[in-house]
Amino acid sequence: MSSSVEAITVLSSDGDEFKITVSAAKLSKPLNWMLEDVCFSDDCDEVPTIEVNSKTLVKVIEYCEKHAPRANSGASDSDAEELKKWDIEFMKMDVKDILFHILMAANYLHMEGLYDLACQTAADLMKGMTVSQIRKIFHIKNDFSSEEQEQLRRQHPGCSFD
Amino acid sequence: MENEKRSHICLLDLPESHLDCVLKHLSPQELCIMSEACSVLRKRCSGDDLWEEHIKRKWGPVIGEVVYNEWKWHIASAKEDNTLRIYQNGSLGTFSGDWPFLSLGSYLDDSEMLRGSLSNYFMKSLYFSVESGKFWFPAQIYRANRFLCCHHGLLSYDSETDSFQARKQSGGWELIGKSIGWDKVRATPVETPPNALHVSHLSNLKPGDHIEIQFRTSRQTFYDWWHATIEHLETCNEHGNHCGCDQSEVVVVEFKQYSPVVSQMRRLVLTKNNYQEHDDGMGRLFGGIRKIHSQQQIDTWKSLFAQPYLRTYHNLLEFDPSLFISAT
Repeated sequence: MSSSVEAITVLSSDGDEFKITVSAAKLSKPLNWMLEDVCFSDDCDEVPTIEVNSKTLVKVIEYCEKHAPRANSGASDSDAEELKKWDIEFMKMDVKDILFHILMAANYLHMEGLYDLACQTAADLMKGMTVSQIRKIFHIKNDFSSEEQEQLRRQHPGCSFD
Repeated sequence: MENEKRSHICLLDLPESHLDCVLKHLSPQELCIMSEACSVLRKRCSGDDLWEEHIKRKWGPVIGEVVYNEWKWHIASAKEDNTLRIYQNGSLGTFSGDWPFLSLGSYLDDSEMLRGSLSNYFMKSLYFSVESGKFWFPAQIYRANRFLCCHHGLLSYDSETDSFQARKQSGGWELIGKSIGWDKVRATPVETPPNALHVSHLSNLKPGDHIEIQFRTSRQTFYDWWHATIEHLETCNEHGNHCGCDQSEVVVVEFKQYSPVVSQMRRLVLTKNNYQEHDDGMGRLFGGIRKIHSQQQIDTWKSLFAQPYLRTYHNLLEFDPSLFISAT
């Protein structure tokens, strides 16, 4: 691999171009493979496509760039603590709308850390909610008959469902 | 409009494996609330993997394969709905009265909750039956009245005090304690029924090993487990790597809970080959042996031996060994 290459260009599934640094791409095996292909290929003009939409890919690349220094060189505990705080903020932003897209992208790109973070964030959205709030947040239609609902309440002693 | 639709969070669109990974982060109560949202979530939130994890997290030290096997029986009973087999309360026999079953492996106080669809969810139904204290499951209880030993018994969990009640088979199923702490209970470590001889391989034992040995005073009762160590033969002078004790046809078992003054009670010599229940001629029947591999279990025994009531008893024995002999 040529050491002069510091960043590569990739296409999102919507056809937009994005730049990702070599060190950041190393966080994902599939991205890393693409990178090697690009660098070794004679036809360097070819831009690989990542099957992730633009809105999601921006976030994924942002995550990679932030985590790359630590993943590549190791880091102190205070750095790890700082990174944890950053993760929480990263997931707090207007990202909610694309949370599940990020989760799927992290899976597709073999990014364990981001995948776990997305799962935890999704679960946190469910915590402390009532059944009706859950239905509202996640756009779920109640398909139980009233008998079934009554039976469920009996089965779950100690749970509040209001 | 199109954009608005796409930005919605579509939880149910997630592939099942991803949804399961999200649900893993929820507590039992949160899973119950989620499962009331719709029929798809009811199924996903009731999966055995999720609930087995919660059972392990909460009751791992007391619930294992032996309890799962018992629970299979209760689930099968509930599904059969066979009124001949099911007592009024849905269990096999009762703790008192006509059925003081020696073979009663577990006891369900109230099977009403299993009559609905909950019986389709093995681990989830087990979780709630244990949590509510209605399921008396097989486990073991460390006790020190005359001797320090581990009894077979049935436990019921008390969620308010995070402790257990225990019953022990002795004719009926007498209640032997309430508010029993976590340090005094454990899961049944072997699948051997409490009245059966545990099949053991004595040839693997060598000096220094910690073991547990089955013990009873009558063939009509359950075995308890006693702690012991494997010691060198009396003829052995070498206490290092060149010791030949492991080549011997016999193995020396030593019970530290007996004072050295009563050496005939403290030491036991067993033949390795074709080992059966051993009657020592003093009213003590010794059954199978299991080697303790976990340091944690060895430490538990050590800490129990160090407790004050036992030390007091030991001191007494050193002055009057006959007291100890009569106690058996």
